[in-house]
Amino acid sequence: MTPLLEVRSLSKFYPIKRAGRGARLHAVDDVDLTIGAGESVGLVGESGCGKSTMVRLLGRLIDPTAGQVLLGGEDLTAITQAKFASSASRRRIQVVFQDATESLNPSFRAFQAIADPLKRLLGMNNGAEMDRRVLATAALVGLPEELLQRYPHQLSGGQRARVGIARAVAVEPSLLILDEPTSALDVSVQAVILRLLADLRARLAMSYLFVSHDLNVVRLLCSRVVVMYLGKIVEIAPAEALFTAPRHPYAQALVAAIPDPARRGEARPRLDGSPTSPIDPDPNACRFYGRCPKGADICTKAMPPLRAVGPDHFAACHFALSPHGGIDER
Amino acid sequence: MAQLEIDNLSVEFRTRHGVVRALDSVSLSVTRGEIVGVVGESGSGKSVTAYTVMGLNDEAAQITKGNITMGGIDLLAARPEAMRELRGREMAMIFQSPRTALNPIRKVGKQIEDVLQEHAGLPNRDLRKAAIAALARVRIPDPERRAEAYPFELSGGMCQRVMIAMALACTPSVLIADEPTTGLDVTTQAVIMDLIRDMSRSTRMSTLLITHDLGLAGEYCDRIAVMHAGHIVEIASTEALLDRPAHPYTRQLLAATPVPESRLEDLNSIPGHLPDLRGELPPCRFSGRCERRQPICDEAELPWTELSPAHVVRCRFPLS
Amino acid sequence: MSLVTLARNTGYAFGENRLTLVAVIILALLALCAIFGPYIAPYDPLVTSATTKLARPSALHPFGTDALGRDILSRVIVATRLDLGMAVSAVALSFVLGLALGSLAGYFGGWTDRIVGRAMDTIMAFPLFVLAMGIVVALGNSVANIIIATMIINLPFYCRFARAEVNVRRELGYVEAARMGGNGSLRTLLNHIVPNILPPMMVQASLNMGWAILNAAGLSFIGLGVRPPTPEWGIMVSEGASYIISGEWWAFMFPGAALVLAVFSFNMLGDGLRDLLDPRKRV
Repeated sequence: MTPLLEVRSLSKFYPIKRAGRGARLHAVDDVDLTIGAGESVGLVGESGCGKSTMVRLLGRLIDPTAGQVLLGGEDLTAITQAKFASSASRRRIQVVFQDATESLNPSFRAFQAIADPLKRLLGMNNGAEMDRRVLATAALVGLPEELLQRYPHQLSGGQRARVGIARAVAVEPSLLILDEPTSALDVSVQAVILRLLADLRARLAMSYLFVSHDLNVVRLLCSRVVVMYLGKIVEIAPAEALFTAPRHPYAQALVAAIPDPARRGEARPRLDGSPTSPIDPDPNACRFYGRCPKGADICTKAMPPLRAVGPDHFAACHFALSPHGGIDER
Repeated sequence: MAQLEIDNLSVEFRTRHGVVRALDSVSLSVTRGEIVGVVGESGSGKSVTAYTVMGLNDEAAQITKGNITMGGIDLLAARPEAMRELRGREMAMIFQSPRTALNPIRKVGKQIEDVLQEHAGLPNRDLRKAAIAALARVRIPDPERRAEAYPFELSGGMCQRVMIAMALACTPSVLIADEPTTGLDVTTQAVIMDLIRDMSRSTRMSTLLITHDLGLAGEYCDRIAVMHAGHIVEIASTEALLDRPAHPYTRQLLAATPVPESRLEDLNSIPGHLPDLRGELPPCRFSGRCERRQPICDEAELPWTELSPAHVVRCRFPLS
Repeated sequence: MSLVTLARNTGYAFGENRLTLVAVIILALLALCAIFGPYIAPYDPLVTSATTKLARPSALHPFGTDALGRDILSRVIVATRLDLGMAVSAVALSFVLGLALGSLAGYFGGWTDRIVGRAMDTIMAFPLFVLAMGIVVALGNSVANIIIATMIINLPFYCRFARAEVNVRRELGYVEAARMGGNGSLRTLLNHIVPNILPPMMVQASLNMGWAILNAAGLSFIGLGVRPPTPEWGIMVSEGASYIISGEWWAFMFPGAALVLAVFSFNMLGDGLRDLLDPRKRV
């Protein structure tokens, strides 16, 4: 069974102007990932880990430096992103952006915002068919018809979130990438939007890539979670397995850092410091070495590959393989 | 004895769209060494409370009634010069978005020295050493070198530590932290919150932690005050609030906040929306969204019910 | 912005800023003079009279007469069309061309930005008025060439502004969403970004109008462009200047006042527009 999305050796390097050395910033470095049809995958990691770059690469807003992105077997990276905008496959991947980044055009009414992709991608031309489709999508996301004539600044946070979602699902994509869709919302509104997203996924048979810094939310919505660090994937696991028994030290620190009222007053091991530089990192050393509570000679000699540590569970750490947490000497 | 006491505070803002009654009869106290969380959603008035205590509201704000005392000093009656003296020395505030709250064109060491010079009265030659010591206290590695850095050279977490260092440089007795970790990664958030908690305990500082994250407040605060639309609806010890919430809003907020054990089907949203703070408001500002509402809730004055000495709730029909 | 909000904000802008209201009234009057000038002028502006040379302002000639006996009031009124017309044309052309060049430079960056940037730098390297003079002399003395010269020296102003505004918006969520929605680069720029930068650009245009008026009048003042006997404020000030010493102040004063009034009103309008478009500014 071909997975819906297949990412092979995807890399994105940005050249940094330094005295004639051709230094490059490794935003995303040799990433492999698959997303199945109808699956909801979470993508987490701290700022600078490459998740925003992944969103842009998979959303085909930027071109990769190396590697491929295959959607249903078709290589999307065969053409540049500029040409992709007018290709037939553009409608198959859509992104829901963060409200905080002004994701709605201030001079477009809600109706226009939802109608625009229908016009461009489905060739609908301001006719009855387009109107019907916009109204149907608005109903699908729970946006009352009378709000369609409003501008973004006249809508509440929750309503804006719905417009952003409607705009993305109007063209019925196969893969929906969600970049922090609820981080700007109050918790009272968040639950409704999350349930809406879960509902939509089932109804429109979409796959999700859900990027968030809020691990509790990721746990609610995703069946599988990918953890990134400094441009590389360090762990992939089923959601429950990641949160109950993470294997990579970074993932462990991440899970331990989630505020938990039940653990009040407990002193827990904390991950201090900052990540090492993403500019021309040593290809033969683990990126987490130095900041990692564990560390051995092998960590500086060989980049740990992503290896199976359990059913459907992969971690890129020399310490992760052996069950008692010792170093895998293989 | 409470170090910081807010008593029956009401604040209004005159805007071109009408008078916004941002705070109504807010009462809260913090004792030495205590961390009290003020939890609320956007529009709840938690930041307004913080700014009013610090005396940082703009001219449109009017304090229509109430008192704020800190260590016996009446803050509302204090002259601007007196407030300026207190700010930085006796009471300090740390803000959201640390990188934008620091002066971008001044080295961080110098910014700490500025605070010390203004409030600690140290001789000039001791300033640099004191600034480096302040950076070391917040566990910034290599403080002598970091003191020479500009904010843009430091990460968000580092900047927040610098802001904490500045706030605590003169060991104030009151610290107000306004969403100090929003926008920071969860790993950095944990470190910063641990730091705030440790410094509060060791210097016996009264700390007001303002946040929208009930989970965060649950882990770090001794007591929590929940705010809704300019009212404090409930104050209780953390255990009591999380296990036996008495106000319907508190209960709904808890049910809407995802915690590790949550399931999507169980997560609820809170129906309705905030009342317009400019118009006619019923005595209970939550009544429009409350399922337990009775006619009397919209007529009679809202009482404070004391469920136990440390647990008060502003509701006629609190949950048992 | 919906019409209702626009109307309400207009009310606020005028209520809080009486000067804006005054400015709009004055501009309305000037516009009337521009459109209906020849019909409302009491006398024919070109008719000379040897007997009433340099007559003081009186009931018969409220603004007095000039050295050739022409009624100054009529000439001032009729000149409005030319002065405002030149300024509006020049500003409109600069606006459109500057918007186009600046948006392209701001959105695409790279070589587009470099070429446009160098072109604007070249224009700004000269003292602008001197450049305008040079252009009119090179192209020939005519109203059209005054407009072209004014347009050219105003271009960098709009170009830079558009470039900066587009640059700021280029990375926003809705621009990326537009590209996700199948809009090509040019269409994204035109349909999604430009509508958002038009309001601040119009504020700039309004503030720029006063400058454009002065520029056009200034060129005429030094004898370039408009030729006598065409009534135009700049020429009238120039002609009247010779008579200050002999005490006939009205010859230059009234056209000068008209210039001041027009410039002042446009500036006030620009300030008012700025308030109108940013209602969050005031408490």
